[in-house]
Amino acid sequence: MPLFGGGKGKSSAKDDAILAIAVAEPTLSGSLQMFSTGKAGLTYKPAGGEAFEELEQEVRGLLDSGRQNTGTRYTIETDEYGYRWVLLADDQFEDLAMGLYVVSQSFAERGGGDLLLAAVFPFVHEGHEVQWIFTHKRGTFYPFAPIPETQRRDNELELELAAKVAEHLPVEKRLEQWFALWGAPFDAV
Amino acid sequence: MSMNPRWTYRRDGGLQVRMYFTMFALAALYLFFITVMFGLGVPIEFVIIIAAVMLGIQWFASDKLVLRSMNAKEVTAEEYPKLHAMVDRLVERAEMQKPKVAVAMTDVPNAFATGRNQSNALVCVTQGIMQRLDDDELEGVLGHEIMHIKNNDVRVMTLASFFATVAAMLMNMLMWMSLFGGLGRHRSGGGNFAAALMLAYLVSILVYFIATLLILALGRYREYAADHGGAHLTGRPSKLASALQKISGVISRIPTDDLRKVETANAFFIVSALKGESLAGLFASHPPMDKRVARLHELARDLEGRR
Repeated sequence: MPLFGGGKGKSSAKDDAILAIAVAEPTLSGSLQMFSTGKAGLTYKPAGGEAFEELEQEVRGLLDSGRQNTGTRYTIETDEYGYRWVLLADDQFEDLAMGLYVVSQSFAERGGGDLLLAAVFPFVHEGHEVQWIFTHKRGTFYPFAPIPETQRRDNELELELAAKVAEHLPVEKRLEQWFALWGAPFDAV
Repeated sequence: MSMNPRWTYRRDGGLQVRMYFTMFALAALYLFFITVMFGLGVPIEFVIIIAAVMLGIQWFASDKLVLRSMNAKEVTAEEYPKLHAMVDRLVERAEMQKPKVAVAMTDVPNAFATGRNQSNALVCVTQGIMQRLDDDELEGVLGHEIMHIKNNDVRVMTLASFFATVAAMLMNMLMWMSLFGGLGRHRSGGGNFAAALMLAYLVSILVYFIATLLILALGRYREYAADHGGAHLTGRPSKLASALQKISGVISRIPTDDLRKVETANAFFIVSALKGESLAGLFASHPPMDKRVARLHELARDLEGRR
């Protein structure tokens, strides 16, 4: 069911892989005790030019209609790396996943797919924050568990959770690709 | 029945014996090498002079060379107070001079010690290791490196490598000589010269090969010794064990770098293609991680038992 109005362009299997987290979420919150924080973010590298401005206009349009149809709040931020963030807040997890999917479809249709860096889904597991990061280039998810107030991450927890969700999510097998995303601006939404 | 308080030496005995045996084997090998070279009339004086210069550079500038090649720089106590405080505590317990402290700006988790003697020694850790380890584990790693300094491992290994370097240079030189028919006049009789060169060449290869294996073995024993000594310094062998597991195992493959930074730098990822497991042990400069970890846990049990 297209929540934001539907995309008619072609999409690759890699792009669609982001939806796997919507399918997996009931298992995550059920037996695996991982709960969504009710937020999600998509980050991309802003480009210059008219075409890109049109794309961002379209994205805002999609997000506005999403706010009306499903009550998904959104905000757009630019971080210290110069990357743009589309941040969503919604208690319905599938609206978060679908919202980011629709935005990424918009990028793909307008030839901006390469600008997409990652979609991030923050969860809480036994008091620890764990973000599931989806990279559009690889079409896979990996965990990122930053230790609060540090630039360190809880690798043991990440490995443990990755092993647990492996049958529900396409987990990135190359650990070298599990790059950190420090300080995603989720507080802004 | 009372516990033997000198268990360190009892347990270390085998290690010491193997270490001395390896050193003895190295010495014997080099003696054999020199004998053969003189017997064949190869002008090795020249080679030894060059090798001595190389050794001298290694001897006197190694710390600076290593720092440069590792993209590391010495850091002050103001810049890294926690790191300096740890080193202070450890050297006090080890009753030795404080080495210089350096940090390498790389995400690769690693640490090393260098310096030809205790008064110009240096201990270096990478950003990556500080980001991955907790304080106790980092202390375990520093304890290990400080024991390398205390055991004069850099000096021993530099000296041990000396003849391997000479052999390698001879190997090169002899190859060119046999290609171009010799450098000027030679001492031995005409037709035999090519054959003698060939033999000298083969002996050099053999010596270089065996020497390298022995040096690596010697290095591995000294790693165990540093593990052992470092564990006594901190009193917590299990912390070094968990540090080793963190920096060598799966966890070391997980980056701490930011995705946005990496994407901006357009980094390439080089897959380590060579992963021969069977030969790896023979050629490894460090003992296998699981063996080191097992020994450290054994040590931890002994330390517990003594308390």
